[in-house]
Amino acid sequence: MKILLRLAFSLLIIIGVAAQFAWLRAAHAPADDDGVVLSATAGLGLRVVPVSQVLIQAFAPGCADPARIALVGLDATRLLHASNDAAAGSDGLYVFMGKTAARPAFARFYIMRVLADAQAVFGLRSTRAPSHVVHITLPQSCPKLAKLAWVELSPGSGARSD
Amino acid sequence: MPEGRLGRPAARELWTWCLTFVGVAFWCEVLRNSDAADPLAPAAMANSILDVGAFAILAWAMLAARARSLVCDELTSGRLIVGTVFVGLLCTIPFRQATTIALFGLAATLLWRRKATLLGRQAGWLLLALALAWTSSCYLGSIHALVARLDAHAAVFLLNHLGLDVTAQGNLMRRGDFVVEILSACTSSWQLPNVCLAFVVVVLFLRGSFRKTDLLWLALSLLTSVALNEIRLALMARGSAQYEYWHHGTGETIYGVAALAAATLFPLLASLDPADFRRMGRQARQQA
Repeated sequence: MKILLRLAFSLLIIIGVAAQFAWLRAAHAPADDDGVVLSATAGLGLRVVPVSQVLIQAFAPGCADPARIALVGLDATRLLHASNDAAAGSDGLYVFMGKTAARPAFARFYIMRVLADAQAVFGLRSTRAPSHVVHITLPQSCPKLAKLAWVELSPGSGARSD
Repeated sequence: MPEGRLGRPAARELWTWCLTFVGVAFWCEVLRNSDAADPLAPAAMANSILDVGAFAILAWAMLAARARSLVCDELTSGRLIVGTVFVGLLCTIPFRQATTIALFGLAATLLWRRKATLLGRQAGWLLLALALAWTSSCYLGSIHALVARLDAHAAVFLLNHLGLDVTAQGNLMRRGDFVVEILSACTSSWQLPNVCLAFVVVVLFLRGSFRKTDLLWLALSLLTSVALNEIRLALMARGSAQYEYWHHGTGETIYGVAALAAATLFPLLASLDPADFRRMGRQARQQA
């Protein structure tokens, strides 16, 4: 029994290390959050004006007020920044992995990320889950911005980065 | 080492297996989280290991030294075998959360177990400190976000007293057109679990156990860490060149050395015997 247990434990260590290696092979390539957001915003027919490394403004034709788009870390720190800068008279929208939400449902986003990571281990995804949520501040003065398919900005939404 | 019925391995051996499972999972996680193009290249692996920090490496070295003596020499039980298999299975799951649960579970079991040896309890404290230091970035996001706001106001308060016109808005510090945003990794709270880890490692290495007075020294160590961070943030908020110097340049190294020295100094002082302090006081008075 002693020998059997030792063999089993050694096997567990080998399986554990192999699982980590499988993860590395399957999921090392991170989702290109910045690239997806920039190209998808332009793809929506909006004029993109970068404000900083993490914040862009997107102008729709005929609208003076832009949509403000920021990548928000799942730890919500940058959400704070985004909330600080959100102007009065604007609506927030959160996009993560092909889903949109009007509220910062970070617990749900985190569960989605863990599940996506699990899929990557078993080869069902080719990239890591994105580490950012896209936070969009829509001005109420430009209703047509709200009608756009903002879900396209989602890194790791499926077609774009999988 | 005694062997139980049917040639079961001794309890000590099973505990050693548990620690090995958790250790392997921990270091695999460390390598897996590398941002390098090839995380398994020797240079990338070395960087990943160094990024964990000197005190985490020391903690694991101490754990390795204690691995064979975590519990008293005793006959093993079926429950212990099942527990070891469970820890092993948990550590095969390549998620940080699984390893975290294993770290906390093993630490709690060692600290609460009546038959744990002195070295076993030391290992429990080390595992607990490691688990806290390792998981703070993942699970304390909301706290760091809150502290980022406090940090911004504290640093701005310092700068205003030095006559500089800087304002704080949320986690932002503004001086004219120049803005610094304080993110999680730059908050005062980010380093505190690592300061605790440093304290545990140094005190256990030098003395092997804790005293009530250690809490005072730990509090001083944590306060010093916060103060150093506030000073660094204030220095960064003065302008673009200062930001570059203190965030990416030589200033970052200076801050790192100061933080490391402070994190080591307080547990060193805590480990001195009170008699040493009295003797030093007498010598100082005689010289005066």
